[in-house]
Amino acid sequence: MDFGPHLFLACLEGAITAAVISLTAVGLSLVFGIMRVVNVAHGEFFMLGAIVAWWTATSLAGHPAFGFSAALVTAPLVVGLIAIIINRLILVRLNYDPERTIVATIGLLYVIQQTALMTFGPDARPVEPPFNTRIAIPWIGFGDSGFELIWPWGLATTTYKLAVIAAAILIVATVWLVISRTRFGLIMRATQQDGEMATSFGIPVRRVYAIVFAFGAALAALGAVLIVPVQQAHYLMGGDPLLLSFIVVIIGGLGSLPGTIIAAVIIGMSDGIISVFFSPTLAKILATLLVALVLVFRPQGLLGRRRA
Amino acid sequence: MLEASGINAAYGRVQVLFGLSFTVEAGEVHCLMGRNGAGKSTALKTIMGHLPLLSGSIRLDGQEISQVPAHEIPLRGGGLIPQGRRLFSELTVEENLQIGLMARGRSGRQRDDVLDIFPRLRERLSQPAATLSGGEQQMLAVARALCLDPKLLLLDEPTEGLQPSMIEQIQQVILRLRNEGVAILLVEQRVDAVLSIADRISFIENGRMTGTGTVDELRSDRQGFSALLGV
Repeated sequence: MDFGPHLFLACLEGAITAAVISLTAVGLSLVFGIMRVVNVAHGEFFMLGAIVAWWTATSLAGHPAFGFSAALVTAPLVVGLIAIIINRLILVRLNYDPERTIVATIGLLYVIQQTALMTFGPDARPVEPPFNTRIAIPWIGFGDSGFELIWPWGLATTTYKLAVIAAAILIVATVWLVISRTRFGLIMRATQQDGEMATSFGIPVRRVYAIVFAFGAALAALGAVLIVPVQQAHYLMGGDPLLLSFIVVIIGGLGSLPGTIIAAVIIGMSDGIISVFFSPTLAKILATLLVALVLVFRPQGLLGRRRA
Repeated sequence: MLEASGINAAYGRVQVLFGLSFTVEAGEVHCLMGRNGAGKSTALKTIMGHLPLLSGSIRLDGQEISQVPAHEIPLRGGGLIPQGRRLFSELTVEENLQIGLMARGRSGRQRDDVLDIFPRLRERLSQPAATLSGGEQQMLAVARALCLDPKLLLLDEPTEGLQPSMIEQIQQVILRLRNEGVAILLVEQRVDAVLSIADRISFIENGRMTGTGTVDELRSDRQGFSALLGV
Protein backbone atom coordinates (compact mmCIF):
# COMPACT_ATOMS: atom_id res chain seq x y z
CA MET A 1 0.00 0.00 0.00
CA ASP A 2 1.25 3.51 -0.83
CA PHE A 3 2.13 5.95 1.92
CA GLY A 4 -1.02 8.08 1.50
CA PRO A 5 -3.60 5.31 1.97
CA HIS A 6 -1.43 3.75 4.67
CA LEU A 7 -1.37 7.06 6.58
CA PHE A 8 -5.13 7.42 6.18
CA LEU A 9 -5.62 3.93 7.60
CA ALA A 10 -3.32 4.77 10.51
CA CYS A 11 -5.34 7.94 11.15
CA LEU A 12 -8.53 5.89 11.28
CA GLU A 13 -6.99 3.55 13.86
CA GLY A 14 -5.77 6.61 15.75
CA ALA A 15 -9.25 8.10 15.72
CA ILE A 16 -10.61 4.95 17.38
CA THR A 17 -7.91 5.14 20.07
CA ALA A 18 -8.67 8.86 20.51
CA ALA A 19 -12.39 8.12 20.81
CA VAL A 20 -11.97 5.54 23.55
CA ILE A 21 -9.22 7.45 25.38
CA SER A 22 -11.31 10.61 25.39
CA LEU A 23 -13.99 8.74 27.36
CA THR A 24 -11.60 7.28 29.94
CA ALA A 25 -9.60 10.51 30.19
CA VAL A 26 -12.71 12.68 30.66
CA GLY A 27 -13.71 10.38 33.54
CA LEU A 28 -10.26 10.63 35.08
CA SER A 29 -10.19 14.40 34.56
CA LEU A 30 -13.59 14.90 36.21
CA VAL A 31 -12.56 12.84 39.22
CA PHE A 32 -9.31 14.73 39.61
CA GLY A 33 -10.74 18.14 38.78
CA ILE A 34 -13.64 17.95 41.20
CA MET A 35 -12.44 15.57 43.92
CA ARG A 36 -8.67 16.17 43.69
CA VAL A 37 -8.32 12.38 43.72
CA VAL A 38 -5.73 10.84 41.39
CA ASN A 39 -7.46 7.55 40.72
CA VAL A 40 -4.72 5.09 39.80
CA ALA A 41 -7.36 2.33 39.58
CA HIS A 42 -9.24 4.13 36.78
CA GLY A 43 -7.92 1.69 34.15
CA GLU A 44 -9.38 -1.19 36.18
CA PHE A 45 -12.84 0.37 35.86
CA PHE A 46 -12.22 0.20 32.11
CA MET A 47 -11.23 -3.46 32.41
CA LEU A 48 -14.25 -4.23 34.59
CA GLY A 49 -16.46 -2.56 31.99
CA ALA A 50 -15.06 -4.88 29.32
CA ILE A 51 -15.57 -7.96 31.50
CA VAL A 52 -19.14 -7.00 32.38
CA ALA A 53 -19.75 -6.36 28.66
CA TRP A 54 -18.42 -9.83 27.80
CA TRP A 55 -20.46 -11.42 30.58
CA THR A 56 -23.64 -9.60 29.52
CA ALA A 57 -23.17 -10.28 25.81
CA THR A 58 -22.47 -13.99 26.30
CA SER A 59 -25.28 -14.45 28.82
CA LEU A 60 -27.94 -13.25 26.40
CA ALA A 61 -28.92 -15.38 23.46
CA GLY A 62 -30.00 -13.94 20.14
CA HIS A 63 -28.54 -11.39 17.78
CA PRO A 64 -25.19 -9.90 18.90
CA ALA A 65 -26.76 -6.44 18.80
CA PHE A 66 -29.08 -7.50 21.62
CA GLY A 67 -26.27 -8.55 23.96
CA PHE A 68 -24.14 -5.55 23.00
CA SER A 69 -27.00 -3.10 23.62
CA ALA A 70 -27.59 -4.68 27.02
CA ALA A 71 -23.86 -4.36 27.77
CA LEU A 72 -24.01 -0.64 26.99
CA VAL A 73 -26.43 -0.34 29.90
CA THR A 74 -25.16 -2.95 32.38
CA ALA A 75 -21.43 -2.22 32.22
CA PRO A 76 -21.61 1.49 33.18
CA LEU A 77 -24.26 0.73 35.80
CA VAL A 78 -22.36 -2.16 37.43
CA VAL A 79 -19.01 -0.36 37.32
CA GLY A 80 -20.61 2.87 38.58
CA LEU A 81 -22.12 0.93 41.47
CA ILE A 82 -18.73 -0.63 42.27
CA ALA A 83 -17.24 2.88 42.23
CA ILE A 84 -19.87 4.11 44.70
CA ILE A 85 -19.02 1.22 47.04
CA ILE A 86 -15.29 1.95 46.72
CA ASN A 87 -15.96 5.63 47.38
CA ARG A 88 -17.92 4.77 50.51
CA LEU A 89 -15.51 2.15 51.84
CA ILE A 90 -12.20 3.81 50.99
CA LEU A 91 -12.25 7.41 49.77
CA VAL A 92 -14.69 8.74 52.37
CA ARG A 93 -12.69 7.08 55.16
CA LEU A 94 -9.53 8.73 53.85
CA ASN A 95 -11.39 12.05 53.76
CA TYR A 96 -10.42 12.35 50.05
CA ASP A 97 -6.87 13.17 51.12
CA PRO A 98 -4.93 13.55 47.82
CA GLU A 99 -1.82 11.65 48.93
CA ARG A 100 -3.48 8.80 50.81
CA THR A 101 -6.00 8.20 48.02
CA ILE A 102 -3.15 7.70 45.53
CA VAL A 103 -1.75 4.91 47.70
CA ALA A 104 -5.21 3.46 48.27
CA THR A 105 -6.09 3.41 44.57
CA ILE A 106 -2.74 1.76 43.73
CA GLY A 107 -3.75 -1.01 46.13
CA LEU A 108 -7.22 -1.06 44.62
CA LEU A 109 -5.73 -1.50 41.16
CA TYR A 110 -4.12 -4.79 42.22
CA VAL A 111 -7.16 -5.96 44.18
CA ILE A 112 -9.48 -5.45 41.19
CA GLN A 113 -6.98 -6.88 38.72
CA GLN A 114 -6.26 -10.03 40.72
CA THR A 115 -9.94 -10.52 41.53
CA ALA A 116 -10.64 -10.37 37.80
CA LEU A 117 -7.86 -12.91 37.16
CA MET A 118 -9.27 -15.30 39.77
CA THR A 119 -12.85 -15.04 38.55
CA PHE A 120 -12.70 -14.16 34.86
CA GLY A 121 -9.48 -16.04 34.16
CA PRO A 122 -6.36 -15.15 32.18
CA ASP A 123 -7.81 -15.55 28.69
CA ALA A 124 -8.78 -12.76 26.34
CA ARG A 125 -12.45 -13.10 25.45
CA PRO A 126 -14.17 -11.58 22.44
CA VAL A 127 -17.48 -9.79 22.23
CA GLU A 128 -19.19 -9.91 18.89
CA PRO A 129 -19.86 -6.46 17.42
CA PRO A 130 -23.53 -5.62 16.82
CA PHE A 131 -22.76 -4.88 13.17
CA ASN A 132 -19.50 -5.09 11.28
CA THR A 133 -19.83 -4.43 7.59
CA ARG A 134 -16.54 -3.90 5.80
CA ILE A 135 -16.28 -0.58 3.98
CA ALA A 136 -13.65 -0.25 1.28
CA ILE A 137 -12.29 3.28 1.12
CA PRO A 138 -11.48 4.85 -2.22
CA TRP A 139 -8.32 6.84 -2.85
CA ILE A 140 -7.36 9.33 -5.52
CA GLY A 141 -4.46 8.05 -7.59
CA PHE A 142 -2.68 9.21 -10.68
CA GLY A 143 -3.26 6.76 -13.55
CA ASP A 144 -2.92 6.72 -17.35
CA SER A 145 -5.85 9.08 -17.76
CA GLY A 146 -4.81 11.51 -15.01
CA PHE A 147 -6.36 11.57 -11.52
CA GLU A 148 -8.77 8.71 -10.93
CA LEU A 149 -10.57 6.98 -8.09
CA ILE A 150 -8.78 3.78 -7.06
CA TRP A 151 -9.52 1.12 -4.42
CA PRO A 152 -6.17 0.25 -2.78
CA TRP A 153 -6.03 -3.25 -1.36
CA GLY A 154 -6.37 -3.20 2.41
CA LEU A 155 -7.67 0.38 2.65
CA ALA A 156 -10.87 -0.41 4.48
CA THR A 157 -12.58 -0.04 7.80
CA THR A 158 -15.78 -1.36 9.33
CA THR A 159 -19.09 0.24 10.12
CA TYR A 160 -18.55 -0.72 13.74
CA LYS A 161 -15.27 1.20 14.02
CA LEU A 162 -16.90 4.29 12.53
CA ALA A 163 -19.78 3.86 14.97
CA VAL A 164 -17.31 3.77 17.88
CA ILE A 165 -15.94 7.15 16.81
CA ALA A 166 -19.42 8.61 16.38
CA ALA A 167 -20.61 7.20 19.72
CA ALA A 168 -17.61 8.64 21.57
CA ILE A 169 -18.21 12.08 20.02
CA LEU A 170 -21.86 11.87 21.05
CA ILE A 171 -21.05 10.81 24.62
CA VAL A 172 -18.36 13.48 25.11
CA ALA A 173 -20.72 16.13 23.69
CA THR A 174 -23.42 14.97 26.12
CA VAL A 175 -20.99 15.14 29.04
CA TRP A 176 -20.01 18.66 27.99
CA LEU A 177 -23.66 19.68 27.78
CA VAL A 178 -24.39 18.21 31.21
CA ILE A 179 -21.46 20.07 32.75
CA SER A 180 -22.01 23.40 31.04
CA ARG A 181 -25.80 23.60 30.73
CA THR A 182 -27.44 21.71 33.56
CA ARG A 183 -28.09 22.42 37.21
CA PHE A 184 -26.00 19.41 38.24
CA GLY A 185 -23.18 20.62 35.99
CA LEU A 186 -23.29 23.97 37.78
CA ILE A 187 -23.10 22.19 41.12
CA MET A 188 -20.13 20.15 39.86
CA ARG A 189 -18.30 23.26 38.66
CA ALA A 190 -18.94 25.11 41.92
CA THR A 191 -17.73 22.10 43.92
CA GLN A 192 -14.64 21.88 41.70
CA GLN A 193 -13.74 25.49 42.44
CA ASP A 194 -14.31 25.61 46.18
CA GLY A 195 -15.79 22.65 48.00
CA GLU A 196 -16.08 24.45 51.33
CA MET A 197 -17.95 27.40 49.82
CA ALA A 198 -20.15 25.00 47.89
CA THR A 199 -21.07 23.45 51.25
CA SER A 200 -21.88 26.95 52.53
CA PHE A 201 -24.49 27.16 49.78
CA GLY A 202 -26.21 23.91 50.62
CA ILE A 203 -24.36 21.64 48.21
CA PRO A 204 -23.78 18.18 49.71
CA VAL A 205 -20.21 17.97 48.51
CA ARG A 206 -19.62 14.36 49.54
CA ARG A 207 -22.70 13.25 47.61
CA VAL A 208 -21.41 15.19 44.59
CA TYR A 209 -18.05 13.40 44.98
CA ALA A 210 -19.77 10.00 45.07
CA ILE A 211 -21.74 10.79 41.91
CA VAL A 212 -18.68 12.15 40.10
CA PHE A 213 -16.59 9.12 41.04
CA ALA A 214 -19.31 6.78 39.79
CA PHE A 215 -19.80 8.89 36.66
CA GLY A 216 -16.05 8.79 35.88
CA ALA A 217 -15.96 5.03 36.35
CA ALA A 218 -19.08 4.61 34.20
CA LEU A 219 -17.48 6.63 31.40
CA ALA A 220 -14.42 4.36 31.50
CA ALA A 221 -16.72 1.32 31.41
CA LEU A 222 -18.61 2.78 28.47
CA GLY A 223 -15.34 3.25 26.59
CA ALA A 224 -14.51 -0.38 27.29
CA VAL A 225 -17.87 -1.62 26.00
CA LEU A 226 -17.28 0.27 22.77
CA ILE A 227 -13.78 -1.10 22.26
CA VAL A 228 -14.23 -4.68 23.45
CA PRO A 229 -15.57 -5.97 20.08
CA VAL A 230 -12.31 -4.68 18.57
CA GLN A 231 -9.78 -5.53 21.32
CA GLN A 232 -11.28 -8.38 23.43
CA ALA A 233 -11.72 -8.38 27.20
CA HIS A 234 -8.67 -9.27 29.31
CA TYR A 235 -7.79 -8.79 32.96
CA LEU A 236 -4.66 -6.79 32.09
CA MET A 237 -6.31 -4.49 29.57
CA GLY A 238 -6.60 -1.55 32.02
CA GLY A 239 -2.91 -0.62 31.83
CA ASP A 240 -2.80 1.16 28.47
CA PRO A 241 -5.97 3.22 28.94
CA LEU A 242 -4.71 4.28 32.38
CA LEU A 243 -1.33 5.38 31.01
CA LEU A 244 -2.86 7.15 28.00
CA SER A 245 -5.55 8.79 30.16
CA PHE A 246 -2.96 10.19 32.55
CA ILE A 247 -0.92 11.43 29.59
CA VAL A 248 -4.01 13.05 28.08
CA VAL A 249 -5.15 14.63 31.35
CA ILE A 250 -1.68 16.05 32.08
CA ILE A 251 -1.21 17.40 28.56
CA GLY A 252 -4.75 18.76 28.37
CA GLY A 253 -4.57 20.43 31.76
CA LEU A 254 -5.71 18.82 35.00
CA GLY A 255 -9.44 19.29 35.38
CA SER A 256 -9.94 20.97 31.98
CA LEU A 257 -12.55 19.18 29.89
CA PRO A 258 -11.80 20.94 26.56
CA GLY A 259 -8.06 20.42 27.14
CA THR A 260 -8.63 16.76 27.87
CA ILE A 261 -10.56 16.27 24.64
CA ILE A 262 -7.97 18.10 22.52
CA ALA A 263 -5.15 16.11 24.13
CA ALA A 264 -7.09 12.86 23.63
CA VAL A 265 -7.29 13.57 19.91
CA ILE A 266 -3.59 14.46 19.71
CA ILE A 267 -2.43 11.45 21.74
CA GLY A 268 -4.93 9.01 20.24
CA MET A 269 -4.08 9.96 16.68
CA SER A 270 -0.33 9.95 17.27
CA ASP A 271 -0.63 6.62 19.12
CA GLY A 272 -2.53 5.12 16.18
CA ILE A 273 -0.21 6.50 13.52
CA ILE A 274 3.06 5.65 15.29
CA SER A 275 1.74 2.18 16.20
CA VAL A 276 0.89 1.46 12.56
CA PHE A 277 4.14 2.80 11.07
CA PHE A 278 6.57 1.84 13.84
CA SER A 279 5.45 0.12 17.05
CA PRO A 280 2.94 0.63 19.87
CA THR A 281 5.83 0.74 22.36
CA LEU A 282 7.46 3.65 20.52
CA ALA A 283 4.09 5.42 20.54
CA LYS A 284 3.89 5.12 24.34
CA ILE A 285 7.51 6.22 24.77
CA LEU A 286 6.96 9.35 22.67
CA ALA A 287 3.70 10.16 24.46
CA THR A 288 5.42 9.84 27.83
CA LEU A 289 8.24 12.06 26.57
CA LEU A 290 5.65 14.64 25.55
CA VAL A 291 4.25 14.57 29.07
CA ALA A 292 7.72 15.23 30.46
CA LEU A 293 8.11 18.20 28.10
CA VAL A 294 4.69 19.57 29.06
CA LEU A 295 5.50 19.21 32.76
CA VAL A 296 8.75 21.13 32.27
CA PHE A 297 7.58 23.89 29.91
CA ARG A 298 3.84 24.19 30.58
CA PRO A 299 3.04 22.41 33.83
CA GLN A 300 -0.60 23.53 33.77
CA GLY A 301 -1.10 21.70 30.44
CA LEU A 302 -2.63 23.04 27.23
CA LEU A 303 -5.78 24.58 28.70
CA GLY A 304 -5.27 24.16 32.45
CA ARG A 305 -4.90 27.12 34.76
CA ARG A 306 -1.96 27.64 37.05
CA ARG A 307 -2.91 27.10 40.67
CA ALA A 308 -1.88 29.81 43.11
CA MET B 1 -31.95 33.67 66.48
CA LEU B 2 -28.41 32.37 67.11
CA GLU B 3 -27.32 31.05 70.49
CA ALA B 4 -23.73 29.86 70.78
CA SER B 5 -23.09 28.35 74.16
CA GLY B 6 -19.71 27.20 75.46
CA ILE B 7 -18.34 26.30 72.04
CA ASN B 8 -14.98 24.58 71.94
CA ALA B 9 -13.45 23.88 68.52
CA ALA B 10 -10.11 22.67 67.18
CA TYR B 11 -8.07 22.52 64.01
CA GLY B 12 -6.99 18.89 64.21
CA ARG B 13 -5.52 18.46 67.68
CA VAL B 14 -5.00 22.16 68.32
CA GLN B 15 -7.90 23.70 70.21
CA VAL B 16 -8.61 27.23 69.00
CA LEU B 17 -11.93 28.18 70.59
CA PHE B 18 -12.42 27.92 74.35
CA GLY B 19 -15.98 28.09 75.63
CA LEU B 20 -17.26 30.94 73.46
CA SER B 21 -20.79 32.00 74.26
CA PHE B 22 -22.82 34.71 72.56
CA THR B 23 -26.19 35.36 71.01
CA VAL B 24 -27.41 37.25 67.97
CA GLU B 25 -31.02 38.34 67.96
CA ALA B 26 -33.15 38.86 64.88
CA GLY B 27 -32.66 42.41 63.63
CA GLU B 28 -29.39 42.82 65.51
CA VAL B 29 -25.84 43.40 64.33
CA HIS B 30 -23.46 41.68 66.72
CA CYS B 31 -19.81 42.35 65.97
CA LEU B 32 -16.89 40.13 66.95
CA MET B 33 -13.65 42.03 67.37
CA GLY B 34 -10.15 40.98 68.23
CA ARG B 35 -6.62 40.76 66.93
CA ASN B 36 -5.61 38.68 63.93
CA GLY B 37 -5.64 35.00 64.89
CA ALA B 38 -7.89 35.61 67.89
CA GLY B 39 -10.46 33.12 66.61
CA LYS B 40 -13.13 35.38 65.06
CA SER B 41 -13.17 33.73 61.63
CA THR B 42 -12.88 30.33 63.28
CA ALA B 43 -16.02 31.10 65.26
CA LEU B 44 -17.88 31.80 62.00
CA LYS B 45 -16.51 28.61 60.42
CA THR B 46 -17.63 26.62 63.43
CA ILE B 47 -21.14 28.04 63.24
CA MET B 48 -21.30 27.11 59.54
CA GLY B 49 -20.20 23.56 60.39
CA HIS B 50 -16.83 23.72 58.62
CA LEU B 51 -15.03 22.99 61.84
CA PRO B 52 -16.13 20.19 64.16
CA LEU B 53 -17.36 21.23 67.56
CA LEU B 54 -15.52 19.57 70.45
CA SER B 55 -18.28 20.55 72.84
CA GLY B 56 -20.90 23.18 73.34
CA SER B 57 -24.11 24.05 71.64
CA ILE B 58 -25.11 26.15 68.63
CA ARG B 59 -28.80 26.82 68.15
CA LEU B 60 -30.26 28.55 65.13
CA ASP B 61 -33.88 29.64 65.37
CA GLY B 62 -34.26 27.38 68.41
CA GLN B 63 -32.86 24.27 66.72
CA GLU B 64 -29.53 22.66 67.52
CA ILE B 65 -27.30 22.85 64.43
CA SER B 66 -23.96 21.72 65.83
CA GLN B 67 -24.59 18.12 64.79
CA VAL B 68 -26.20 18.69 61.39
CA PRO B 69 -24.09 18.31 58.21
CA ALA B 70 -22.50 21.59 57.12
CA HIS B 71 -24.48 21.70 53.86
CA GLU B 72 -27.77 21.70 55.78
CA ILE B 73 -26.98 24.89 57.71
CA PRO B 74 -27.66 27.17 54.71
CA LEU B 75 -30.90 25.26 54.19
CA ARG B 76 -31.89 26.23 57.74
CA GLY B 77 -31.20 29.89 57.09
CA GLY B 78 -27.48 30.39 57.78
CA GLY B 79 -25.58 32.47 55.22
CA LEU B 80 -21.87 33.27 55.05
CA ILE B 81 -19.92 36.04 53.36
CA PRO B 82 -16.37 34.80 53.89
CA GLN B 83 -13.18 36.76 54.19
CA GLY B 84 -11.58 37.27 50.78
CA ARG B 85 -15.01 36.80 49.11
CA ARG B 86 -14.27 33.28 47.84
CA LEU B 87 -16.49 33.61 44.80
CA PHE B 88 -16.78 30.79 42.31
CA SER B 89 -14.42 32.77 40.15
CA GLU B 90 -14.76 30.79 36.92
CA LEU B 91 -18.54 30.87 37.08
CA THR B 92 -20.40 33.87 35.72
CA VAL B 93 -22.12 36.39 37.96
CA GLU B 94 -25.47 34.81 37.02
CA GLU B 95 -24.20 31.31 37.90
CA ASN B 96 -22.88 32.55 41.26
CA LEU B 97 -26.32 33.93 42.02
CA GLN B 98 -27.98 30.71 40.87
CA ILE B 99 -25.84 28.73 43.34
CA GLY B 100 -27.24 30.96 46.07
CA LEU B 101 -30.81 30.65 44.85
CA MET B 102 -30.72 26.86 44.45
CA ALA B 103 -29.96 26.09 48.08
CA ARG B 104 -33.29 27.17 49.52
CA GLY B 105 -35.22 26.92 46.29
CA ARG B 106 -35.64 30.68 46.02
CA SER B 107 -37.21 32.08 42.87
CA GLY B 108 -36.18 34.60 40.25
CA ARG B 109 -37.99 37.23 42.31
CA GLN B 110 -35.39 36.88 45.06
CA ARG B 111 -32.71 37.25 42.38
CA ASP B 112 -34.36 40.41 41.04
CA ASP B 113 -34.64 41.87 44.54
CA VAL B 114 -30.95 41.24 45.11
CA LEU B 115 -30.02 42.75 41.76
CA ASP B 116 -32.10 45.82 42.64
CA ILE B 117 -29.77 46.31 45.62
CA PHE B 118 -26.69 45.94 43.39
CA PRO B 119 -27.77 47.22 39.94
CA ARG B 120 -24.19 47.22 38.71
CA LEU B 121 -24.19 43.42 38.84
CA ARG B 122 -27.12 43.37 36.43
CA GLU B 123 -24.79 44.70 33.74
CA ARG B 124 -22.23 41.99 34.48
CA LEU B 125 -24.42 38.87 34.61
CA SER B 126 -22.64 36.99 31.85
CA GLN B 127 -19.14 37.92 33.01
CA PRO B 128 -16.98 35.43 34.93
CA ALA B 129 -16.72 36.54 38.55
CA ALA B 130 -12.93 36.64 38.30
CA THR B 131 -13.12 39.51 35.81
CA LEU B 132 -15.02 41.85 38.18
CA SER B 133 -13.32 44.66 40.07
CA GLY B 134 -12.66 44.16 43.79
CA GLY B 135 -15.71 46.21 44.76
CA GLU B 136 -17.96 44.38 42.31
CA GLN B 137 -16.67 41.06 43.61
CA GLN B 138 -17.63 42.07 47.14
CA MET B 139 -21.07 43.10 45.86
CA LEU B 140 -21.41 39.68 44.28
CA ALA B 141 -20.29 37.94 47.48
CA VAL B 142 -23.01 39.79 49.37
CA ALA B 143 -25.58 39.29 46.60
CA ARG B 144 -24.84 35.56 46.42
CA ALA B 145 -25.41 35.21 50.17
CA LEU B 146 -28.61 37.28 49.98
CA CYS B 147 -29.93 34.90 47.31
CA LEU B 148 -30.08 32.35 50.14
CA ASP B 149 -32.62 34.62 51.83
CA PRO B 150 -30.80 34.04 55.14
CA LYS B 151 -32.22 34.45 58.63
CA LEU B 152 -28.70 34.67 60.00
CA LEU B 153 -25.89 36.27 58.03
CA LEU B 154 -22.25 35.85 58.99
CA LEU B 155 -19.93 38.43 57.48
CA ASP B 156 -16.17 38.11 57.76
CA GLU B 157 -14.51 41.48 57.21
CA PRO B 158 -16.78 42.49 54.35
CA THR B 159 -15.19 45.93 53.90
CA GLU B 160 -11.59 44.73 53.78
CA GLY B 161 -9.67 46.33 50.93
CA LEU B 162 -12.61 48.34 49.58
CA GLN B 163 -12.74 51.99 48.62
CA PRO B 164 -14.76 54.30 50.91
CA SER B 165 -17.81 54.57 48.61
CA MET B 166 -18.04 50.78 48.44
CA ILE B 167 -17.63 50.46 52.23
CA GLU B 168 -20.53 52.88 52.62
CA GLN B 169 -22.68 50.81 50.26
CA ILE B 170 -21.91 47.54 52.07
CA GLN B 171 -22.72 49.17 55.42
CA GLN B 172 -26.03 50.40 54.05
CA VAL B 173 -26.88 46.88 52.93
CA ILE B 174 -26.03 45.52 56.39
CA LEU B 175 -28.28 48.10 58.04
CA ARG B 176 -31.07 47.38 55.57
CA LEU B 177 -30.86 43.66 56.34
CA ARG B 178 -30.90 44.40 60.06
CA ASN B 179 -34.04 46.46 59.61
CA GLU B 180 -35.60 43.56 57.72
CA GLY B 181 -35.02 41.36 60.77
CA VAL B 182 -31.95 39.42 59.67
CA ALA B 183 -29.62 38.46 62.51
CA ILE B 184 -26.10 39.59 61.59
CA LEU B 185 -22.86 38.37 63.07
CA LEU B 186 -20.10 40.59 61.80
CA VAL B 187 -16.36 40.16 62.09
CA GLU B 188 -14.78 43.55 61.54
CA GLN B 189 -11.47 45.21 62.40
CA ARG B 190 -12.37 48.82 61.60
CA VAL B 191 -13.56 50.48 64.79
CA ASP B 192 -15.36 53.34 63.02
CA ALA B 193 -17.35 50.90 60.89
CA VAL B 194 -18.22 48.81 63.93
CA LEU B 195 -19.41 51.78 65.96
CA SER B 196 -21.60 53.00 63.13
CA ILE B 197 -23.46 49.77 62.39
CA ALA B 198 -23.13 47.36 65.34
CA ASP B 199 -25.67 47.02 68.14
CA ARG B 200 -23.45 44.84 70.28
CA ILE B 201 -19.74 44.07 70.31
CA SER B 202 -17.90 41.08 71.73
CA PHE B 203 -14.17 40.81 72.05
CA ILE B 204 -12.20 37.63 71.48
CA GLU B 205 -8.62 36.97 72.42
CA ASN B 206 -6.82 33.66 72.01
CA GLY B 207 -10.11 31.92 71.35
CA ARG B 208 -11.74 33.22 74.53
CA MET B 209 -14.40 35.85 75.00
CA THR B 210 -12.88 38.75 76.94
CA GLY B 211 -15.78 41.17 77.01
CA THR B 212 -19.10 42.09 75.55
CA GLY B 213 -21.42 45.05 75.58
CA THR B 214 -23.71 47.30 73.60
CA VAL B 215 -22.18 50.05 71.52
CA ASP B 216 -23.60 52.66 73.90
CA GLU B 217 -22.07 50.92 76.92
CA LEU B 218 -18.71 50.77 75.22
CA ARG B 219 -18.91 54.39 74.10
CA SER B 220 -19.49 55.46 77.68
CA ASP B 221 -16.51 53.45 78.94
CA ARG B 222 -13.77 54.53 76.54
CA GLN B 223 -10.98 53.31 78.81
CA GLY B 224 -12.45 49.84 79.08
CA PHE B 225 -13.14 49.82 75.35
CA SER B 226 -9.54 50.71 74.55
CA ALA B 227 -8.33 48.02 76.92
CA LEU B 228 -10.51 45.42 75.23
CA LEU B 229 -9.27 46.54 71.82
CA GLY B 230 -5.70 46.27 73.07
CA VAL B 231 -4.78 49.82 72.05
